[in-house]
Formats: sequence, C-alpha cells, structure tokens
Amino acid sequence: MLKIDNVSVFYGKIRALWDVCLRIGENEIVALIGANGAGKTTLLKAISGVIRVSSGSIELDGKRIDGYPPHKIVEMGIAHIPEGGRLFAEMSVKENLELGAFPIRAWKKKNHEIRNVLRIFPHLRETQLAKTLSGGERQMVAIARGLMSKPRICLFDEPSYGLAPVVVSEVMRVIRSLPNEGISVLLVEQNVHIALQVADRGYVLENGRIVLEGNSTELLQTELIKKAYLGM
Amino acid sequence: MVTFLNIFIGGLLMGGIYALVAAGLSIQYGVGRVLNIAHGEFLMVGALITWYLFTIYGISPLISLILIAFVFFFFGFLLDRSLFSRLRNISPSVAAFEANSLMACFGLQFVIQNIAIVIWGAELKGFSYMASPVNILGALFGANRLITLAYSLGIAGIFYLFLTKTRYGKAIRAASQDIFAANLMGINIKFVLSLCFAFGALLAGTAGALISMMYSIHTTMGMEYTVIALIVIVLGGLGSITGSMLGGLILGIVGSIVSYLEPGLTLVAYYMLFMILLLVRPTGLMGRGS
Repeated sequence: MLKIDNVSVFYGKIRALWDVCLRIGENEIVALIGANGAGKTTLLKAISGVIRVSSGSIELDGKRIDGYPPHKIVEMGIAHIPEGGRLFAEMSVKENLELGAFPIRAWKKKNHEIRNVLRIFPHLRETQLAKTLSGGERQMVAIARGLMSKPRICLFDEPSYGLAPVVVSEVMRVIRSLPNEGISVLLVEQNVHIALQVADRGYVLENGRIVLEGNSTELLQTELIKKAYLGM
Repeated sequence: MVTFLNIFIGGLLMGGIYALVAAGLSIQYGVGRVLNIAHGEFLMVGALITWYLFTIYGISPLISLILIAFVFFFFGFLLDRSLFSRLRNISPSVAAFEANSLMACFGLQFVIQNIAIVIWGAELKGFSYMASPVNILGALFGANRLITLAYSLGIAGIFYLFLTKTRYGKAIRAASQDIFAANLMGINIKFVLSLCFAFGALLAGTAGALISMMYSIHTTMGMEYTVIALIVIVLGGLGSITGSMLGGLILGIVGSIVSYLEPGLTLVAYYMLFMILLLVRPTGLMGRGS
C-alpha cells in the first residue's frame, strides 16, 4: 500500500536518511524503531511531505506522492500524529477535532465523525480547552484528531513518550484496533518492547539507514535488538 | 449622564476603529510573522480613496468602504504572494524572515506614502457626510459618528464570527497557535498566510474609510495609526486576535476619558498605559506567555 524506495533526505549538507526502503501493507501495523537521532521522525516528515525527499520515491497505491505538499498528502489519506500531540492549546477538544477534519470531504461529515471518535475515547469532554488536558488526554485527542480526516494510513511519532504505563497500554490498545477499521499504521517508537508487541513487522533504523527488518517475533529474537534495545 | 454618554460613545467610536486596525496588524504579525510597519499606510490610502471618490464623484463613503474591502483584500493577497511568500522561501529561519519582512515593510511604507503624496499632495483634507446631529438621551452626536460606530463594531463582529465559526477562520487560528500541526491537519499554510495578510489589508483599508468620515485626513497620517496598532496588540497580547479587538476598545475608552479631561494628553496616556502594562503584565490581556 505504501512503498518507500531508496529515500534519502538532507538537512542542508547533512544527510539524515540513506536509501531507506520500507513497505506498509493493507491493515498492517509496522514499527520503526531506533535510537534518538536515527532519523525516524525525519522519515515520517518525508512521508507527510513536511520535508523534501532528495532522491528515491514514495508511492501510495502505485501513485507517487513525494513532492506533494503536506495538505495534499493528508487529502490522499495519510495522517501524521506528531510527537507530543501538538494540539491547538487555546482551542477546545471539539475545535481540535474539527480541524482534524479540515480536508473538505471530511469537513462535511465532521459532526458525525466527532461522535465516532468520541466513542473510542469516551472520557474526553468536547468543551474542555486543550491546554488544560493531562498528558494522556492530550495524546488521546491527538490520535482522535488524526482519525478525523478518515485516513488509510496513520503515522504515529512516539505516542507513548512521557505517558504513564496505564495510559500507554490504553494508547496501544487503540492503535492495535485501527487495522480492523481499515487503517494501516506506521509506529515510530523508542520503546522497542511495546512497539514490537503491537506491530506485525518492524524496521530498525540506525544513523539514517535501515539495518534490520522482519516480523516482530523474529526481531525480538535477534542479537542486535536484544543487546542494543532491550538490554538483555 | 450626558457627559458620561459622550465619553462612553466617543470611546467606543475610537475603540472600534482601533480594534479594526489592531486586529489587522495582529493577524498579519500573529500568524504571518510580518510586522507590517506599513499597516497605517494602507489605512491612509483607504481614507484618501474614500475622500477622493466622495469629493470627485459623490460616491457615498459607505459604498466606497465595501469597494475598498474587496480591492484591499485582493491587493493584500497579491502582495503576500509576490513579496512575503518569496521572502519566506529564501529566509533560513522564522527570525530571519521577521527581520527581512520588517525591512520590506519599511520600504513599502515609503513607497506607498510617497506615491500618495504625488497623487494627493500633503495638505489636510476632509469632507462632510451625514453630519446632522442626532439626540441620544440629551447628548448630541453626528449621525456619521453613530454610523461609523455601528460599522466598526459590525465589521469587528463579523470578523470575530469568521474566525470562530468558519472553516478557514478556524484554520487561521490553528496556524497562529502551531503552524506545523496546522500543516499536518491538511491546511494549506501558504494560502492561509496570504489570506491573513489580505484580511489585514482589508481591515486597515475599511478603518481608513471610516476615519475619513469623521476626521480630517492627510497622506502622512499612517504612522500614528501603526503606532497605536502596535500598542494595542501588545495590550491585547501578541498573537491573540480577539485580544487585539478587546485591547482596541479599552484604549479607545481610555483615550476618550483622557481627552475629555485634557485633549493634549491622549497620546501620552496611551504610552503610559503601554508602559504600565509592560511592567505589570508583559504578556498582555489575553497573551499566552512564553
């Protein structure tokens, strides 16, 4: 469904990604793991069009999407839920959700969709100001907001970062349910254990290069993962 | 009672206009990061076009105002597309863009003002339109003043509803809070930034048209309003458009009270208020802090 081939990205003269190849299938959860500064967020930004790809290609259902601006890519069905949620702090939960439905096709059905996503997160209060939410609630609203555009692929950037363990499992439960709704997931995580529990497959990114890929269960058995990420 | 009404309505009148001017600058700076020093020049051009159309062709200022709103919106949009969006592309950072666009606005200010002087000269101008007095509870007001009051509050109200109720209004507010997240929502940032500059120009132009109905105008009047707009957006809180509207109304009423006591001290009072606010609450009335 999403095909990334030989993608390289530069920040000025500094190269952040080296010939990255990655696949996401229909209704699949794919984890992208790696240390700080490995280039995980850079790859997400390249997919959502926030930064330009210098070489290589990104295809969605056989159609090249690299080079399109971010708002076009959202319309094509890719939602990017950024690290920390990045809610609109001065707005209510409801307005944040409405903005998630900004593409015109989603906007027309936004009220219906708000009811749908609030069913997934029943304890969110529509009228509450985003800046008064707790960290966990912020992440929930960010996920709900991402779902408002009716995406086919969701890109998650460190959804567990800074959250209490109970909240992390709640977030992961929601992510795991997305393929049942016809949504594929690319999950960027530093917490390798959690990521590989949720994901079907995984890729390991080191210094801008994919160094390892495979099924989650296989990856958990590899020496590299055990040593470098699980401390075993 | 009559004195009170005089001061209060006079304050609302000035405040309504300040609210428009400041909301215009606030949307240009708060969202687009363009500190538009030439903002007052747009106002001046709006005022002089209104005067020109009235004295030469007899066109009612209230019709000119609508015309100006459309033309200024269009012109503002083009200006952002041609000048500021290009500067945005070549500036390596937001700070660099702010500096570059400030320089561009200085240039724009001289260009607009000098073209206006070539066309209209530098002397004071004015016209009388619907100046017949209206009696409200014993206090007399020019009909034009009451119409101006209604118009400025009406435009501010419509603009507020636009920002809070419509799809693009919400997009503008979202972009003012987090431009990266707004982009990820599918909002076309380039378009929204041009929209913001266009609305700023529209608000300045219509405020100019309203001012020309009450006061004498001239081609060098712009800077005074730029300074007042700057005071108001700091008063209301940088980046908060609704704060600017509120700040404008407050400044107008303060100005009205002071000018009743001693007309020469109005500007002094504005600066005093400005300095006190910077000491007591530097983030402004509705500012977010850092």
